[in-house]
Amino acid sequence: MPHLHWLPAAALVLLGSTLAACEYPGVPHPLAGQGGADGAWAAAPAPGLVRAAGSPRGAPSQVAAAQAQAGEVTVGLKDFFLDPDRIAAKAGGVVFNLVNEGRYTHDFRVEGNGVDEKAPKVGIGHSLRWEITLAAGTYQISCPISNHADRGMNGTLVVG
Amino acid sequence: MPVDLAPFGARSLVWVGAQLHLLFAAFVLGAPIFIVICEYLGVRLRDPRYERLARETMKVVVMAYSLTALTGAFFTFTLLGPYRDFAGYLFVRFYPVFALYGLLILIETVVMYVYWYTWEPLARRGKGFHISIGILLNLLGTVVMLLMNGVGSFMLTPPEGVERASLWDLINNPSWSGLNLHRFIANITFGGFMVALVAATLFLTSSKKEDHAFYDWMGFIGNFIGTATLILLPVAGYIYARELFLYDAALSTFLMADKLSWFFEVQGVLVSLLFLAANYYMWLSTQRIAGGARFAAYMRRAFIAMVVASAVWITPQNFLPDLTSPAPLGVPLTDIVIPERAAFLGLMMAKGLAVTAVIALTLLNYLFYRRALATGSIAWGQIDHRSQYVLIALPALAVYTMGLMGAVRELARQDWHVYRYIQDTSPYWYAPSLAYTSLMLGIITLVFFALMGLILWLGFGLGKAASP
Repeated sequence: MPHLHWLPAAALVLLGSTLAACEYPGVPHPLAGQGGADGAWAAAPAPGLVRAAGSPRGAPSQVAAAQAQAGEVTVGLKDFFLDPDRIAAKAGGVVFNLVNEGRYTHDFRVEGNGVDEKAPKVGIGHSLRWEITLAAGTYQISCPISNHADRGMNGTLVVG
Repeated sequence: MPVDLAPFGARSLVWVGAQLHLLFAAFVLGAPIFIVICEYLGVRLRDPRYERLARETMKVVVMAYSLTALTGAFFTFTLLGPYRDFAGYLFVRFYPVFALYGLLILIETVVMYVYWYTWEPLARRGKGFHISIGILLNLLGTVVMLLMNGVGSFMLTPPEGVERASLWDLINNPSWSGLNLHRFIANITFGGFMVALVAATLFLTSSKKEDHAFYDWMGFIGNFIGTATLILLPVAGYIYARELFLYDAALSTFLMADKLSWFFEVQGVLVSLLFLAANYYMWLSTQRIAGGARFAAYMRRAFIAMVVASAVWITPQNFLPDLTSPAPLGVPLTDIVIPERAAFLGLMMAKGLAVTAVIALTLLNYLFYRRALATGSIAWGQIDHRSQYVLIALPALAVYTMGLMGAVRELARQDWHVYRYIQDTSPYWYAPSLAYTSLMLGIITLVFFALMGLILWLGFGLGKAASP
């Protein structure tokens, strides 16, 4: 057979790769043994879209609330939630100390009552001091980058 | 798990079987779409090359059909042993779908053989009827694809209230239409690149001048179809991803920011290489047009701009493996994240613009090609032989990319057979590493190409070797 002298080498590569790809016997699952024969029924049926971490729009908050002290509040921008995600502040100038504690670039947005303002983007490991003047009312706060808000980076700001 | 398949492991064997089956299925579904179009163009333009292209490709499709069935059977058997409970659940919930699937596969097979074996008898009278049989073949293939997409997409995005959901609700789940659109276009892209593969192999193994001219033309058509539809794929992919993200925002975190984020880096590299290879081929094609060399300099600049855009596409925001792994000991976080001044390159906005630039520059290069064509004629068969290796590399990249994105879609379910509904507590419940996934994809690509080599040898090489 002409031109096929590469075939043994190719077969050897395939065999070597196949041996390297053997993953038997796998790793036992923490819930193994509670369900059907192939472990398919371990968890009770739980349809619905409640996520495990963070709080997507509409879901109950998992992060504590905070009261702005002397018109100033520190907000942690994390992957992917705001810490705190419920903030109370007095009407007038509110200063946000935005601290990016995540591994992705984040941002901060205040919306509601005719206001729609965004802070400059905050790089990974960086902080930013951002001031905005707000009248009394309830505002939505979020990270406007990509779909970070849908992933859980959202909350409320109550100005009284 | 009632039975495991040592030493490979049940999941890995199911993976290989499912992916090989999908690759052959994509080919036998995608290629006939433009086989029929080429047959029609042969009649319409009175150009016998289209007829020959359609026929030679169909010869490969007929043989690939058997391998589609064989790999499908392999996939089913490996699934039924280790995952019998879950396979049983799917069969019960989707019984009418599987029954219809079986029936349609049977009809499609008959139609496919009728289409192939009536080519000669209907060549003189009844060409329109023959083309109609080809259209029927494509319609059946598309319905078969839609049915199985219903089952596959259900596992990732089951509708709310699964137990009470009707069969139609199970099929018409939130990501069904997105998957249908993406797979339909991708099958044509894959079919185009596979035709280019067949043409390149036959170009390189033939010695006749007229064969060189024909297979050069055939490779060009295959690459043209593949690249033209490849341009649409990022849009279809975006629509599909958007459906997933709207379904559950946690999915997008797992996919784009956590365990699978580096899979998307590899996807960026692979798709960039697909575009770069297709453009390199276009550049080589321009050289075989009389006077076409003067456009080469412009195309080269566009190519360099594409390399830059591709680099932006694959620029990550950080070099951490996932969302929770700590930085290596002694390495400050700032050393493994993108510098502040270049942070915008890691954002989706920049990536969206980069992909758009890659697509726009591909169109620009095609305009240069058309411009060259307007000023000179093509010397078919006179193309640089490197171009044929590009045509072999393109389907290899496409196979690897399809495997990677298929793995991403399956791994997005995390440790669920049906996302957030039926948990996978088998010993293979975890997401494998990118390194392991790459190894699996390498094996799958090698096996697929070995089987395609066998088909080409049986279909074209063996007969040629036997003839005096």
